[in-house]
Amino acid sequence: MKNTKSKKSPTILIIAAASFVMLLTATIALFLSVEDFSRLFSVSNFTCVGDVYFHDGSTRYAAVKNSDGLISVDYVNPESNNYIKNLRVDVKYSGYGVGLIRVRVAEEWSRTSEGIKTVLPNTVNMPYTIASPYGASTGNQKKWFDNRDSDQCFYYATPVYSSSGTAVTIPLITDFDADEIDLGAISSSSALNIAVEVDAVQVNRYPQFWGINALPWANALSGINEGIAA
Amino acid sequence: MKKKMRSVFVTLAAVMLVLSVSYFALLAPTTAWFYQDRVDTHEFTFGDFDVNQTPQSLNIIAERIAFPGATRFADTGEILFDEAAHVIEVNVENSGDLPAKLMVDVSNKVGGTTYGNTGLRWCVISENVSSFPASPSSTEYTSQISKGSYKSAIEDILASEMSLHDYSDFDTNNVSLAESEYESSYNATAKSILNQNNNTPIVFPGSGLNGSLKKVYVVFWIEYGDVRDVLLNNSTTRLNDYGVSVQLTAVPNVEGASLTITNNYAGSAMVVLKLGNKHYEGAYTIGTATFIADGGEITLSAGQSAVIRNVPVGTYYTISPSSDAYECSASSGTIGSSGASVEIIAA
Repeated sequence: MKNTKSKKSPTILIIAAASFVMLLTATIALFLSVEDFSRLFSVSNFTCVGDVYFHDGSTRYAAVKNSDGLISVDYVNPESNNYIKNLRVDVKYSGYGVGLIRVRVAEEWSRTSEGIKTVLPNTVNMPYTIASPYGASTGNQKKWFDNRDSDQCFYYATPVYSSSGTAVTIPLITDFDADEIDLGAISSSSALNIAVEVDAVQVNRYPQFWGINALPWANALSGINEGIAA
Repeated sequence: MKKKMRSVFVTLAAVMLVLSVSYFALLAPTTAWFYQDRVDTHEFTFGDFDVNQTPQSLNIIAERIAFPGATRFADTGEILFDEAAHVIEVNVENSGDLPAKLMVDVSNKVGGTTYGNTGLRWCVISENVSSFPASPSSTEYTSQISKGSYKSAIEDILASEMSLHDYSDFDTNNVSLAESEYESSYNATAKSILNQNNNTPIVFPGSGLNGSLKKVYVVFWIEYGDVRDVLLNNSTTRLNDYGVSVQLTAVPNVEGASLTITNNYAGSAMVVLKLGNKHYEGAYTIGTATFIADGGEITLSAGQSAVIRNVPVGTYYTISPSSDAYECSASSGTIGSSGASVEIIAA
């Protein structure tokens, strides 16, 4: 007796399975559409400080704070290290967060007699030379908007961020036009002290922190992509 | 042995056949209705997946898009929310006749890396293209800033379920207390509502007069209260990293509802019904009797109502009278989750 083994392939099974898979695939393809993508994000802090010093063209001198926190400035003697023409104010901004910057430069005029200091109520329009004054056109500019008439502040007229680990340096005061100063009723023997306050706020929070409903230059904040980066 | 093998093959083939048939049988009745149509009527065309290029895109750190800062989405006083949000804009088009729904799923994993994503929030906003500004943003100000489009849309979602507050309503002289109250009594509720909204399918009616092109905005932001410690003044630059995968899934909207047409005209009336761009050719019932619409035509005697069941929610319909003697209470509409009704009345 010859013993033969059947070697028939399971054709029916294969066809049936294939049919099922094809039908299933076609149906899913017909009724399902999927798109995938991914994104990586970061959020960062920022740090903003003012760098106040004197520079006579060749040498840098530190601006020393008095006990009351103010900086003494000599507006009479050009030979003084702290002569007003030597005053320099830079702003240094670091961090990937986007911020707005304003700087308040306040002057205090005073007279001292017999050891008693009297602060004068007078104000003087100080002819500082600004590194990049805001231009005639509107919108964000990488320049300083002089809003001192309203709130004693200079506003950097564009959002700022740092795109690397190094700080962005933005010069503000680079010189002083001594010939233009008009002391008015203030005696030339009066002392001048200044305070420099640098104030930075997250780009979306200035209404809350600065208490203003709009930035002072027209068409402000037309795009953070115009901001400066290191 | 041979017999046994054949028996096994036949059995398996039968099982496969049953599975195939069962698969279609188990699909919802409305899906079966789809099969009566041409297969090419069900099309989902996803447009460009464009990352909004302003304002954040230039600040990219090691392939990470830097948020300009954190924000408080539940604070009505946070009018510059849009400045701190990152938005992925997606053009979605359902060019088929059938309604579809889109689900947006955001997970905390990119590739093999799982991110904690502390403080990362997101919300899906969908609007008809015609009703949303081309570039929704709050980036233009002259004399008075105004709330941005994304912020307004999110507030609309919240306002339907809770009272909104300005953060300054809390006692901000005591920051710690204000933060605590804001978080526990207000922000937590807002988060919960948005999370519900995030899972809500967005229905696209399909082609027709109502249009099917929509923009879907996936808005991401960082909640300030969750990252305050990172963002507070620090002499060194600190970074929090986040990663998300977004999956958009479009499927037919198989949820069905009824369209009821009632003849309140004094005599017999005939209307022509279209679902999407096609004349309705399916079944409708009048009382207990079932009829088949031919060329979309449905005829009703005075006082009769025709009911078309299991019409997919979101289907755009048009209905027109075949005589000037009567008219329809609505010439077109979209099937809602509770269905739709049209009345035939004297012209």
